[in-house]
Amino acid sequence: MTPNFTHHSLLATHHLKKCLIANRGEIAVRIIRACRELGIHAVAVYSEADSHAYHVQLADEAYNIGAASPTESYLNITKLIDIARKSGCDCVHPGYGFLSESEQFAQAVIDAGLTWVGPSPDSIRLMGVKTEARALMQQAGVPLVPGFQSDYAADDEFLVAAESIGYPVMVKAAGGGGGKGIRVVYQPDTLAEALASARHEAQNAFGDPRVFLEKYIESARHVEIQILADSHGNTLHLFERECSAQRRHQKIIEESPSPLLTDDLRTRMGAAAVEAARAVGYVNAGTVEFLVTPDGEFYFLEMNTRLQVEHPVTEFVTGLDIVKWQFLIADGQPLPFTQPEVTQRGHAIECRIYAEDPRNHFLPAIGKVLTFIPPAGPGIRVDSGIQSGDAITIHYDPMIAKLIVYGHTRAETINRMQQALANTVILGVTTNISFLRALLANPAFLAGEVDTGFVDANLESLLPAEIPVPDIALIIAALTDSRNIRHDNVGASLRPPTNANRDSHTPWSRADSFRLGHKKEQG
Amino acid sequence: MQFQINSEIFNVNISPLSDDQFTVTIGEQTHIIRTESLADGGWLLQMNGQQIIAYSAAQGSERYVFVNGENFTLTVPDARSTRRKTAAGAGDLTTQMPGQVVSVLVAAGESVTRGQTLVILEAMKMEIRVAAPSDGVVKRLLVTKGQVVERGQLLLEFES
Repeated sequence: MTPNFTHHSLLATHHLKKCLIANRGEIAVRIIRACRELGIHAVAVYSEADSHAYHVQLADEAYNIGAASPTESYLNITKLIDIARKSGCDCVHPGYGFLSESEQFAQAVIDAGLTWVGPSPDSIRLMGVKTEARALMQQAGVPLVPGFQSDYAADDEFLVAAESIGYPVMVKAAGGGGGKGIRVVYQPDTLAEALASARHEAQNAFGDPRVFLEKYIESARHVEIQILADSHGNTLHLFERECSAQRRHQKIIEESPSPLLTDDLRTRMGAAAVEAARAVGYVNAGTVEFLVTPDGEFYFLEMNTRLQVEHPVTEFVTGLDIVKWQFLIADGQPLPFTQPEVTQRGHAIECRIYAEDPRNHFLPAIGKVLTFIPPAGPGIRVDSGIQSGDAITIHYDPMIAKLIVYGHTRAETINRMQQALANTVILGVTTNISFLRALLANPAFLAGEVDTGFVDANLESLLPAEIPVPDIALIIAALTDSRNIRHDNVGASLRPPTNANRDSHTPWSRADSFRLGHKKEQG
Repeated sequence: MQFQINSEIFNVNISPLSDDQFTVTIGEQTHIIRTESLADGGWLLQMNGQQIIAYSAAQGSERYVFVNGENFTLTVPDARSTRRKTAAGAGDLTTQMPGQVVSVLVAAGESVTRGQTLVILEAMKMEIRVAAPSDGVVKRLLVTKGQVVERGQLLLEFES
C-alpha cells in the first residue's frame, strides 16, 4: 500500500517560486516536470550545442551559458549563479553529474541567498572524500569493507596492510569516484605500480593524489538504498535498488526490489543506510551504496549526495515522487509519512539506452537521431531529453533515454521490458538496445544472479548475433526511396519551402527546421 | 534499386500496382504488398495476410529501417560501383576492387542459397565477402586462395 497523502496540504503551500536547473538532457526535463506540478517556474540553461534541446523548449525561460565544452557552460559556477540572480530564481536544482556534488557550487548558491535543492555543502564534503566517509561510517557503526587508509603513508605500509587485508585488494582514490583511480591488485609485487598509477590518475581527475586500500570482493552485488531526509530530523529509506548489471563500473540495468535480498537483509541495510545518512547530518535525497557478498554480508561503499540516474525505479515501487520531495524538503517541509508508511510494491526495472555500438567496443555512436519514437503502454515510463532530429555529440553523455518499466512481478516486468525495448524506434544512430535485450534474456539475469563482474566476463556471449537482412527490410528501404522519387516529381509549389530535407522522407518532420541555425548541419 | 549491407548487394525492383499496392521483387522472390505511410516515417504493411508496422529514415546514402524490433542500416551503393556491378555479365561475379583472395568457400557444382558467402577477398585492409546474388549453382571457379585479383576480374561463373 502506498501512503495516502490526500490529507496533507503540503504540495500547495511551499514557498519556492522559480528554479534554475543547472543541468541538461533528460534530468533537466525530469526536474522541469516536477516544477510544473509544484507550480514552480522552471529556468533552463544551455550551451551552444544545446540551443534546440528539449529541456530548453520545455522550460519557462532559457538562457545561453556558453560554449559546448562543459567547463565553459554547465560547470561554470559564476555564470550559473549570475543567471539565477538575474532571472529572479529563488532556488537551484543541480540534477546529477556536472555540479551536483560540488561543495563549492552548493555554497555559492547559498551565499547568493538562494535555496540549494540538495544536501548541505558539509554533507557533500564529508561524503566526497572517501577516506573521511569511511572514518565517519566506522564511528557510526556502518559495516565497512576491510581496508587501510593513512594519508601519505609509504608504499611499505600499504604492502603490510595489503597482506593483512588479504589479496586481491583494491587501490582507490580518496578524492572521488566514477571508476577513476581504481586498481585491482592480485599480487604483492604489482602493488607499488598500482599505487603509483592510481595516484597519478587521482591527481589528474580530482587534484588529490591520496589513495586507500579496500579488500576486493569478487562476485559481489551492488545494492543501494535510497534515502529521503527532511530538516526536522526525519530520515527515511525508500528501499533498495539492485545495480549489479554494470559494464566497466557503469550501471546498465537497475531494478527494485533486488532479487538477492531477504526481508531481514533489506531491513538491516535500510537501517544501516539511515545511520550513514544521520552520521553526516544528511538532509534531502541521497543514496547509500553497498556491496553485498554471496554469503549475505553487506559493506558500505559510498554515499551519493544527489539525485541518482536510476531514481525512477524507486518512484515506481514506492509511489513517491523523489524530485518533488527534494523541492519540498529544500523548502523546509517535514516528511508527512513515517518509515512503516513507505512501502515497496511490485517490481520496476530501468534500462539505460545509449547511442553506442556494442559490436565496436561500445564506442559512442555520434550522429543525428533521425527518428525517436518511445514505447508506450501500461507500466512504461520513458525519461529522455532527445527528440527526433537531435544530435548525439562528443560533448556530453551519449544516453538517449531511460526506459523504466513496472509490473506486478519480476518476470512480468522483464517480459514487459523486452516488449518495450522491441518497440523503441531509434533510427540514425547505433544503440545498445539489442545488447540490453540479450542481457535481459540471459539465464543469469532471469535467475537474478548477475553480479558486478558478470557483464564484463560474459561480454562475448552477450553481443547479439548479426541478423541477416530480411526481405521486409529491403522492401521498406525500397518503399522509402520510391516515395522520395515520387515526392521529387511533385511540383515545387507542393513541397515544403525548404530543400534541406531532400534526404528525409518526412518533409514535415520538425527535425530539419531545428537545424536551420546550426552551422555544421547547415552545410 | 540496389542496397548494400555488409558488402553484400541486393537488387530490389519495385513497381506500383495501384496507389497503395506494390509488387516487389528481390532475387527470385516476388511479394505483393499493400502499404500505407504513417507519421514519423512509419509504414503500415500488409504482406501474406500479415500486418506489420515499420519505420524508415534516410540520410545521405544510408537507409535506416526498423522492423520487428530490429534495426538495419542499408547503403545505396554509389553510382560508380553500381555501374561496375551492372557492367559485369549477368549471373557472374566479379571483383569490385583489386585485392587478394582470402578464401574460397564453395566448390564447382555446389548449390548455394541467396546471400551465402562464396569468396572472401581482402582489399585495402578490408575483408569483402562476395555473396550469392540468388539461389543457384556455382558452375566454375576461376580463382584460388591467395590469388591476387584485379578490379573487374571474374571470380566464378554462377547460374541462378
